[in-house]
Amino acid sequence: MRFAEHKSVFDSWLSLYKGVLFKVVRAYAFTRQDQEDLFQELATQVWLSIPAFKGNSAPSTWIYRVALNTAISWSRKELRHRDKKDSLDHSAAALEVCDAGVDPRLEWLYEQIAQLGEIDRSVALLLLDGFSYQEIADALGMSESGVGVRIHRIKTHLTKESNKESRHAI
Amino acid sequence: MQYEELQAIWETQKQRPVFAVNDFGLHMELNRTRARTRRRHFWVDVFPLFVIAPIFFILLAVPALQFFFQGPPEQFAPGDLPMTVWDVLACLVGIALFVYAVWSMEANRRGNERQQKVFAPSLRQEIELGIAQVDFDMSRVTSGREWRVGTACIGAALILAWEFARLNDNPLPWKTLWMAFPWLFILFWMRRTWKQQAVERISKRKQALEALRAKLDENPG
Repeated sequence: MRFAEHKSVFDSWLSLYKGVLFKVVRAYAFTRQDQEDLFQELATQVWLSIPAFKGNSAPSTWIYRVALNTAISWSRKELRHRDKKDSLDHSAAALEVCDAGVDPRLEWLYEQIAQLGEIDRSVALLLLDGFSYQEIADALGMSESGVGVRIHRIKTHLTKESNKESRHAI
Repeated sequence: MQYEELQAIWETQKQRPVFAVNDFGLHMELNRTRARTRRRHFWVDVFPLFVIAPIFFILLAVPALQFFFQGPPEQFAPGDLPMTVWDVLACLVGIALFVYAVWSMEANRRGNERQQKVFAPSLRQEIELGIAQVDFDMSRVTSGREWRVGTACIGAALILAWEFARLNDNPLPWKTLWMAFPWLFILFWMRRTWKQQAVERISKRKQALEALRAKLDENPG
Protein backbone atom coordinates (compact mmCIF):
# COMPACT_ATOMS: atom_id res chain seq x y z
CA MET A 1 0.00 0.00 0.00
CA ARG A 2 1.40 3.40 -0.97
CA PHE A 3 1.88 6.02 1.74
CA ALA A 4 -0.74 8.36 0.25
CA GLU A 5 -3.32 5.56 0.14
CA HIS A 6 -2.42 4.49 3.69
CA LYS A 7 -2.81 8.07 4.90
CA SER A 8 -6.11 8.57 3.13
CA VAL A 9 -7.56 5.39 4.72
CA PHE A 10 -6.29 6.54 8.12
CA ASP A 11 -7.77 10.04 7.73
CA SER A 12 -11.16 8.72 6.67
CA TRP A 13 -11.22 6.14 9.48
CA LEU A 14 -10.24 8.73 12.01
CA SER A 15 -12.91 11.17 10.90
CA LEU A 16 -15.62 8.50 10.74
CA TYR A 17 -14.75 6.45 13.81
CA LYS A 18 -12.97 8.78 16.20
CA GLY A 19 -16.06 8.46 18.40
CA VAL A 20 -15.14 4.81 18.92
CA LEU A 21 -11.64 5.78 20.01
CA PHE A 22 -13.00 8.42 22.40
CA LYS A 23 -15.36 5.90 23.98
CA VAL A 24 -12.51 3.42 24.50
CA VAL A 25 -10.31 6.21 25.89
CA ARG A 26 -12.98 7.21 28.40
CA ALA A 27 -13.54 3.65 29.50
CA TYR A 28 -9.87 2.84 30.06
CA ALA A 29 -8.12 6.09 31.01
CA PHE A 30 -9.20 8.41 33.78
CA THR A 31 -6.88 11.39 33.89
CA ARG A 32 -6.36 13.93 31.15
CA GLN A 33 -2.75 12.90 30.67
CA ASP A 34 -3.65 9.21 30.48
CA GLN A 35 -6.48 9.92 28.07
CA GLU A 36 -4.08 11.78 25.78
CA ASP A 37 -1.48 9.04 25.99
CA LEU A 38 -4.03 6.35 25.27
CA PHE A 39 -5.62 8.27 22.41
CA GLN A 40 -2.20 8.71 20.82
CA GLU A 41 -1.47 5.00 21.29
CA LEU A 42 -4.82 4.02 19.77
CA ALA A 43 -4.31 6.29 16.77
CA THR A 44 -0.82 4.82 16.26
CA GLN A 45 -2.08 1.25 16.46
CA VAL A 46 -4.94 1.98 14.06
CA TRP A 47 -2.38 3.46 11.65
CA LEU A 48 -0.16 0.37 11.95
CA SER A 49 -3.12 -1.99 11.56
CA ILE A 50 -4.24 -0.63 8.19
CA PRO A 51 -2.12 -2.98 6.01
CA ALA A 52 -3.49 -5.98 7.96
CA PHE A 53 -7.12 -5.01 7.30
CA LYS A 54 -8.46 -7.41 4.66
CA GLY A 55 -12.04 -6.21 4.61
CA ASN A 56 -13.42 -9.39 6.22
CA SER A 57 -15.27 -7.27 8.78
CA ALA A 58 -16.64 -3.74 8.87
CA PRO A 59 -13.98 -1.06 9.52
CA SER A 60 -15.80 -0.10 12.72
CA THR A 61 -15.49 -3.67 14.04
CA TRP A 62 -11.83 -3.74 13.05
CA ILE A 63 -11.13 -0.40 14.74
CA TYR A 64 -12.97 -1.50 17.87
CA ARG A 65 -10.92 -4.69 17.94
CA VAL A 66 -7.62 -2.84 17.53
CA ALA A 67 -8.62 -0.14 20.01
CA LEU A 68 -9.82 -2.53 22.72
CA ASN A 69 -6.81 -4.81 22.47
CA THR A 70 -4.52 -1.79 22.59
CA ALA A 71 -6.42 -0.29 25.53
CA ILE A 72 -6.26 -3.54 27.51
CA SER A 73 -2.50 -3.87 26.92
CA TRP A 74 -1.98 -0.19 27.67
CA SER A 75 -3.99 -0.42 30.85
CA ARG A 76 -1.97 -3.43 32.08
CA LYS A 77 1.28 -1.70 31.25
CA GLU A 78 0.14 1.50 32.93
CA LEU A 79 -0.76 -0.35 36.11
CA ARG A 80 2.72 -1.90 36.18
CA HIS A 81 4.48 1.42 35.63
CA ARG A 82 2.09 3.63 37.54
CA ASP A 83 4.57 4.24 40.37
CA LYS A 84 7.40 5.11 38.02
CA LYS A 85 5.46 7.72 36.07
CA ASP A 86 5.87 11.34 36.95
CA SER A 87 2.61 12.80 38.03
CA LEU A 88 2.98 16.23 36.50
CA ASP A 89 -0.31 18.01 36.53
CA HIS A 90 -0.34 19.63 33.15
CA SER A 91 -1.90 23.04 33.24
CA ALA A 92 -3.44 22.68 29.81
CA ALA A 93 -4.47 19.42 28.21
CA ALA A 94 -4.40 18.91 24.46
CA LEU A 95 -7.64 16.95 24.60
CA GLU A 96 -10.48 18.47 26.57
CA VAL A 97 -13.89 17.17 27.48
CA CYS A 98 -16.60 19.32 25.96
CA ASP A 99 -18.32 20.82 28.96
CA ALA A 100 -21.30 22.02 26.96
CA GLY A 101 -24.14 19.67 27.61
CA VAL A 102 -22.32 16.93 29.53
CA ASP A 103 -25.03 14.49 30.45
CA PRO A 104 -24.62 13.37 34.09
CA ARG A 105 -26.37 10.11 33.26
CA LEU A 106 -23.76 9.40 30.60
CA GLU A 107 -20.99 10.30 33.05
CA TRP A 108 -22.49 7.85 35.50
CA LEU A 109 -22.64 5.16 32.83
CA TYR A 110 -18.95 5.67 31.99
CA GLU A 111 -18.12 5.45 35.70
CA GLN A 112 -19.97 2.15 35.93
CA ILE A 113 -18.18 0.80 32.87
CA ALA A 114 -14.85 1.88 34.33
CA GLN A 115 -15.54 -0.21 37.41
CA LEU A 116 -15.89 -3.40 35.37
CA GLY A 117 -12.97 -5.72 34.71
CA GLU A 118 -10.78 -5.11 31.63
CA ILE A 119 -12.54 -7.62 29.39
CA ASP A 120 -16.02 -6.79 30.67
CA ARG A 121 -15.35 -3.15 29.87
CA SER A 122 -14.66 -4.09 26.25
CA VAL A 123 -17.75 -6.27 26.11
CA ALA A 124 -19.88 -3.45 27.57
CA LEU A 125 -18.62 -0.91 25.04
CA LEU A 126 -19.29 -3.23 22.11
CA LEU A 127 -22.69 -4.22 23.49
CA LEU A 128 -23.80 -0.62 24.02
CA ASP A 129 -22.63 0.23 20.51
CA GLY A 130 -24.96 -2.44 19.12
CA PHE A 131 -22.55 -5.21 18.15
CA SER A 132 -23.95 -8.75 18.00
CA TYR A 133 -22.74 -11.57 20.27
CA GLN A 134 -20.92 -13.10 17.30
CA GLU A 135 -19.17 -9.81 16.46
CA ILE A 136 -18.15 -9.26 20.08
CA ALA A 137 -16.83 -12.80 20.29
CA ASP A 138 -14.82 -12.31 17.08
CA ALA A 139 -13.46 -8.95 18.15
CA LEU A 140 -12.29 -10.18 21.54
CA GLY A 141 -11.31 -13.71 20.56
CA MET A 142 -13.86 -15.35 22.88
CA SER A 143 -16.57 -17.94 22.46
CA GLU A 144 -20.10 -16.74 21.82
CA SER A 145 -21.35 -18.49 24.95
CA GLY A 146 -18.61 -16.80 26.99
CA VAL A 147 -19.76 -13.46 25.62
CA GLY A 148 -23.36 -14.34 26.52
CA VAL A 149 -22.41 -15.05 30.13
CA ARG A 150 -20.49 -11.79 30.40
CA ILE A 151 -23.29 -9.78 28.80
CA HIS A 152 -25.81 -11.20 31.21
CA ARG A 153 -23.57 -10.30 34.12
CA ILE A 154 -22.93 -6.78 32.80
CA LYS A 155 -26.62 -6.07 32.17
CA THR A 156 -27.52 -7.30 35.64
CA HIS A 157 -24.78 -5.18 37.20
CA LEU A 158 -25.73 -2.02 35.29
CA THR A 159 -29.46 -2.28 35.90
CA LYS A 160 -28.90 -3.10 39.57
CA GLU A 161 -26.60 -0.11 40.03
CA SER A 162 -28.93 2.18 38.10
CA ASN A 163 -31.83 1.14 40.30
CA LYS A 164 -29.75 1.88 43.39
CA GLU A 165 -29.01 5.33 42.02
CA SER A 166 -32.46 6.01 40.61
CA ARG A 167 -33.45 7.94 43.68
CA HIS A 168 -30.71 10.44 42.71
CA ALA A 169 -32.49 11.01 39.42
CA ILE A 170 -30.18 9.35 36.94
CA MET B 1 -33.99 1.36 35.19
CA GLN B 2 -34.03 -1.16 32.37
CA TYR B 3 -31.07 -1.92 30.17
CA GLU B 4 -32.84 -0.34 27.16
CA GLU B 5 -32.94 2.98 28.99
CA LEU B 6 -29.21 2.79 29.65
CA GLN B 7 -28.75 2.04 25.97
CA ALA B 8 -30.73 5.21 25.14
CA ILE B 9 -28.48 7.26 27.45
CA TRP B 10 -25.46 5.79 25.67
CA GLU B 11 -26.89 6.81 22.30
CA THR B 12 -27.11 10.49 23.35
CA GLN B 13 -23.36 10.93 22.85
CA LYS B 14 -23.80 10.40 19.11
CA GLN B 15 -25.49 13.79 18.98
CA ARG B 16 -22.60 15.82 20.39
CA PRO B 17 -18.83 15.53 20.59
CA VAL B 18 -17.38 14.27 23.85
CA PHE B 19 -13.87 15.59 23.29
CA ALA B 20 -12.46 18.55 21.43
CA VAL B 21 -8.91 19.58 20.66
CA ASN B 22 -7.67 22.42 22.82
CA ASP B 23 -5.30 24.43 20.60
CA PHE B 24 -3.52 26.13 23.48
CA GLY B 25 -3.14 22.84 25.35
CA LEU B 26 -1.82 21.16 22.22
CA HIS B 27 0.66 24.01 21.66
CA MET B 28 1.95 23.72 25.24
CA GLU B 29 2.12 19.93 25.06
CA LEU B 30 4.16 20.04 21.84
CA ASN B 31 6.43 22.65 23.40
CA ARG B 32 6.94 20.49 26.50
CA THR B 33 7.69 17.42 24.39
CA ARG B 34 10.23 19.33 22.32
CA ALA B 35 11.95 20.71 25.44
CA ARG B 36 11.96 17.23 27.00
CA THR B 37 13.58 15.73 23.89
CA ARG B 38 16.30 18.38 23.89
CA ARG B 39 17.01 17.92 27.62
CA ARG B 40 17.14 14.17 27.16
CA HIS B 41 19.64 14.50 24.32
CA PHE B 42 21.95 16.61 26.51
CA TRP B 43 21.76 14.45 29.66
CA VAL B 44 21.85 11.06 27.95
CA ASP B 45 24.10 11.60 24.94
CA VAL B 46 26.38 14.57 25.60
CA PHE B 47 26.73 14.98 29.36
CA PRO B 48 28.33 11.54 29.93
CA LEU B 49 31.18 12.62 27.65
CA PHE B 50 31.73 15.69 29.86
CA VAL B 51 32.02 13.35 32.84
CA ILE B 52 34.20 10.84 31.02
CA ALA B 53 36.55 13.54 29.66
CA PRO B 54 38.04 14.70 33.00
CA ILE B 55 38.25 11.12 34.32
CA PHE B 56 39.99 10.11 31.11
CA PHE B 57 42.51 12.96 31.38
CA ILE B 58 43.21 12.25 35.07
CA LEU B 59 43.86 8.61 34.23
CA LEU B 60 46.08 9.76 31.40
CA ALA B 61 47.90 12.29 33.56
CA VAL B 62 49.21 9.62 35.96
CA PRO B 63 51.43 7.74 33.47
CA ALA B 64 52.24 11.04 31.71
CA LEU B 65 53.51 12.63 34.93
CA GLN B 66 55.30 9.41 35.83
CA PHE B 67 57.10 9.56 32.50
CA PHE B 68 57.97 13.26 32.47
CA PHE B 69 59.04 13.42 36.14
CA GLN B 70 60.89 10.15 36.40
CA GLY B 71 64.12 12.02 37.12
CA PRO B 72 65.37 15.59 37.70
CA PRO B 73 64.46 17.77 34.72
CA GLU B 74 68.10 18.65 34.07
CA GLN B 75 68.79 15.04 33.10
CA PHE B 76 66.95 15.69 29.84
CA ALA B 77 69.37 17.58 27.68
CA PRO B 78 67.73 19.47 24.78
CA GLY B 79 66.68 16.94 22.20
CA ASP B 80 67.35 14.13 24.63
CA LEU B 81 63.77 13.43 25.67
CA PRO B 82 63.30 9.67 25.45
CA MET B 83 60.37 10.04 23.08
CA THR B 84 60.51 9.48 19.37
CA VAL B 85 58.56 11.52 16.89
CA TRP B 86 56.24 8.53 16.56
CA ASP B 87 55.47 8.59 20.28
CA VAL B 88 54.59 12.27 20.08
CA LEU B 89 52.47 11.62 17.00
CA ALA B 90 50.63 8.74 18.71
CA CYS B 91 49.86 10.92 21.76
CA LEU B 92 48.60 13.71 19.51
CA VAL B 93 46.38 11.29 17.56
CA GLY B 94 44.97 9.88 20.81
CA ILE B 95 44.19 13.32 22.20
CA ALA B 96 42.79 14.50 18.85
CA LEU B 97 40.45 11.51 18.68
CA PHE B 98 39.08 12.25 22.11
CA VAL B 99 38.73 15.98 21.46
CA TYR B 100 36.95 15.12 18.21
CA ALA B 101 34.48 12.90 20.10
CA VAL B 102 33.56 15.57 22.66
CA TRP B 103 33.60 18.45 20.19
CA SER B 104 31.57 16.61 17.57
CA MET B 105 28.72 15.79 19.97
CA GLU B 106 28.68 19.21 21.60
CA ALA B 107 28.95 21.18 18.34
CA ASN B 108 26.09 19.16 16.88
CA ARG B 109 23.96 19.79 19.96
CA ARG B 110 24.75 23.51 20.01
CA GLY B 111 23.83 23.85 16.35
CA ASN B 112 20.44 22.33 17.07
CA GLU B 113 19.97 24.45 20.22
CA ARG B 114 20.51 27.65 18.22
CA GLN B 115 17.64 26.61 15.97
CA GLN B 116 15.38 25.26 18.70
CA LYS B 117 15.85 27.66 21.61
CA VAL B 118 13.21 30.05 20.38
CA PHE B 119 9.65 30.65 21.42
CA ALA B 120 7.13 29.59 18.79
CA PRO B 121 4.30 32.12 18.95
CA SER B 122 1.83 29.96 17.04
CA LEU B 123 0.80 26.32 16.93
CA ARG B 124 1.92 26.11 13.30
CA GLN B 125 5.44 27.35 14.17
CA GLU B 126 5.55 24.99 17.15
CA ILE B 127 4.75 22.08 14.83
CA GLU B 128 7.46 23.20 12.37
CA LEU B 129 10.01 23.37 15.19
CA GLY B 130 8.81 19.98 16.41
CA ILE B 131 9.38 18.51 12.94
CA ALA B 132 12.85 20.12 12.78
CA GLN B 133 13.68 18.55 16.17
CA VAL B 134 12.43 15.16 14.98
CA ASP B 135 14.58 15.49 11.83
CA PHE B 136 17.57 16.30 14.03
CA ASP B 137 16.87 13.23 16.19
CA MET B 138 16.54 11.08 13.08
CA SER B 139 19.82 12.39 11.66
CA ARG B 140 21.58 11.56 14.94
CA VAL B 141 20.26 8.02 14.78
CA THR B 142 20.95 7.36 11.11
CA SER B 143 24.12 9.37 10.46
CA GLY B 144 26.37 7.05 12.48
CA ARG B 145 27.81 9.92 14.53
CA GLU B 146 27.47 8.01 17.83
CA TRP B 147 29.20 5.03 16.26
CA ARG B 148 32.10 7.23 15.09
CA VAL B 149 32.29 8.99 18.45
CA GLY B 150 32.26 5.70 20.38
CA THR B 151 34.95 4.24 18.13
CA ALA B 152 37.04 7.40 18.51
CA CYS B 153 36.81 7.18 22.33
CA ILE B 154 37.84 3.52 22.38
CA GLY B 155 40.64 4.23 19.89
CA ALA B 156 41.91 7.20 21.92
CA ALA B 157 41.90 5.23 25.19
CA LEU B 158 43.76 2.37 23.58
CA ILE B 159 46.43 4.48 21.86
CA LEU B 160 47.20 6.61 24.91
CA ALA B 161 47.22 3.71 27.37
CA TRP B 162 49.47 1.78 25.05
CA GLU B 163 51.82 4.70 24.44
CA PHE B 164 52.37 5.76 28.06
CA ALA B 165 52.76 2.20 29.26
CA ARG B 166 55.48 1.72 26.62
CA LEU B 167 57.23 4.98 27.52
CA ASN B 168 57.25 3.96 31.19
CA ASP B 169 59.10 0.76 30.24
CA ASN B 170 56.06 -1.31 31.09
CA PRO B 171 54.73 -2.14 27.63
CA LEU B 172 51.32 -3.67 27.40
CA PRO B 173 51.31 -7.07 25.79
CA TRP B 174 50.08 -7.16 22.18
CA LYS B 175 47.06 -9.14 23.21
CA THR B 176 45.77 -5.96 24.88
CA LEU B 177 44.71 -4.89 21.40
CA TRP B 178 42.14 -7.65 21.37
CA MET B 179 40.51 -6.05 24.37
CA ALA B 180 39.13 -3.39 22.05
CA PHE B 181 37.08 -5.87 20.07
CA PRO B 182 34.56 -6.82 22.79
CA TRP B 183 34.00 -3.11 23.43
CA LEU B 184 33.51 -2.42 19.73
CA PHE B 185 31.12 -5.37 19.51
CA ILE B 186 29.11 -4.15 22.52
CA LEU B 187 28.99 -0.67 20.99
CA PHE B 188 27.88 -2.08 17.63
CA TRP B 189 25.25 -4.35 19.18
CA MET B 190 23.85 -1.63 21.46
CA ARG B 191 23.68 0.82 18.61
CA ARG B 192 21.88 -1.65 16.34
CA THR B 193 19.22 -2.48 18.93
CA TRP B 194 18.80 1.13 19.94
CA LYS B 195 18.70 2.35 16.33
CA GLN B 196 15.76 0.11 15.36
CA GLN B 197 13.69 1.25 18.33
CA ALA B 198 14.66 4.89 17.92
CA VAL B 199 13.84 5.00 14.20
CA GLU B 200 10.41 3.49 14.88
CA ARG B 201 9.70 5.92 17.72
CA ILE B 202 10.91 8.98 15.81
CA SER B 203 9.02 8.00 12.62
CA LYS B 204 5.77 7.72 14.59
CA ARG B 205 6.32 11.13 16.09
CA LYS B 206 7.10 12.65 12.72
CA GLN B 207 3.97 11.13 11.19
CA ALA B 208 1.88 12.52 14.04
CA LEU B 209 3.35 16.00 13.62
CA GLU B 210 2.95 15.95 9.85
CA ALA B 211 -0.65 14.81 10.21
CA LEU B 212 -1.26 17.69 12.62
CA ARG B 213 0.29 20.13 10.17
CA ALA B 214 -1.86 18.77 7.35
CA LYS B 215 -4.98 19.14 9.51
CA LEU B 216 -3.99 22.68 10.37
CA ASP B 217 -3.52 23.48 6.67
CA GLU B 218 -6.98 22.09 5.93
CA ASN B 219 -8.57 24.15 8.73
CA PRO B 220 -6.45 27.29 9.06
CA GLY B 221 -9.09 28.97 11.22
